[in-house]
Amino acid sequence: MNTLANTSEQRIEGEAVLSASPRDFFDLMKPRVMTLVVFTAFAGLVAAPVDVDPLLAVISIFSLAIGAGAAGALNMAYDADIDRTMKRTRLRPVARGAVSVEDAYTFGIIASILSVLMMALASNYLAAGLLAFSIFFYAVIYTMILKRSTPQNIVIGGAAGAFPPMIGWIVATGEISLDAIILFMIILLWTPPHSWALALYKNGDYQAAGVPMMPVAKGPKSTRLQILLYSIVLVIFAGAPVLTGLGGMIYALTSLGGGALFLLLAIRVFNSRAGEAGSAEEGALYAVRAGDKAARDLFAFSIGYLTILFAALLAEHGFGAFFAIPGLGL
Amino acid sequence: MSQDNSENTPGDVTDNSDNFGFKSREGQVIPGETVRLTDEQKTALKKRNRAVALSLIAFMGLIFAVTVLRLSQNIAAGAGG
Repeated sequence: MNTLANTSEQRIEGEAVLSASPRDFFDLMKPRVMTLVVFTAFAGLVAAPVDVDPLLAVISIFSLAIGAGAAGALNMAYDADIDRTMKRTRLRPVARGAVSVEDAYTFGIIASILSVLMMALASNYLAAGLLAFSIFFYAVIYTMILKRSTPQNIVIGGAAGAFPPMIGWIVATGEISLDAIILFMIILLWTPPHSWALALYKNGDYQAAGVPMMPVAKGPKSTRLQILLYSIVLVIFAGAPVLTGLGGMIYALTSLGGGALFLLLAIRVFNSRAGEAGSAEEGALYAVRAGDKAARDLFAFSIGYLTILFAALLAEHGFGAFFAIPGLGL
Repeated sequence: MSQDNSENTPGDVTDNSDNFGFKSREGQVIPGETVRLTDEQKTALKKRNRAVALSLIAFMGLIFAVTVLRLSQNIAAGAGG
């Protein structure tokens, strides 16, 4: 008898794929990451000094979200082997066999093309081109090249996540300006301390998967120092919007308060032994051993820090809460 | 090469060329493979089909909305110029 599913493993995989639900495909798009992408892009769009048709703005942001999700799907397709090894990611749709690698690639490529075309229709070619480049950068440069080859993977790869506010800005203005570059730089500088804090308390996971994250390649001590250095640069640079006049009083106070807390947590990480206990016992994102708590706290707060910075810009430019700081603004 | 299909469990992908296969226009049976879906797999397939259909409708709606908006903007700009 000629049977296609001639091993039990193949049969189970085949059945699982046939049972894939729309929810599994939605999960391929990394909805949590998409939320941050939409939020920062929206803040960039609102902060730009040009009014856009609201419906076109919403469709542009929607296109960006689909593009980001498509990049996530391509990432999960390529990284299925790594995801299967890591406790934190082993329940992802491709890793657990709910969606086949081929289906994830197909879904990712189709969604990428549609999102870029929709962006071109709804906004302008520069925004669409940058969206296409950011998908390529995340799926190919970061996922396929950098992630497995260098501890600087997220330092360079972080650019992919930094594009959304810049794209939001370009949707409104049609051009790249200094303020758009500053928003890009804030996320670029934010990514290393954010990702390395996670890598510290999930060190064993990355080690088992053979991903050369900084704690794996250079050790926890060096990583803690680099987290502190990047945090200092980030907190100082986050003040740049105040100098150019993009950020007003609310942004300045948020940046100051949030930055102080960020630095405090980064110093706590530096003084801790985070990353030296090995892998966390549980696979959950925030599960942590006692010695790694400082890293977990910094990771959790870093998301809040970025959110409040962009929320401040949103409040100032979208809700008329902008109070200029006398003597500042280029 | 006879084959008893009662041995096949749902979800099996089996060469059933003697009994199933594909029928040509002339009614000739072309040997092929058939996939028997379980009830759960049939439900999942329906859900996926619905999701694809809804996505396509939403996509067409978006294209329509963008086209109308863009056209009206260009007409307004042309009239103003």
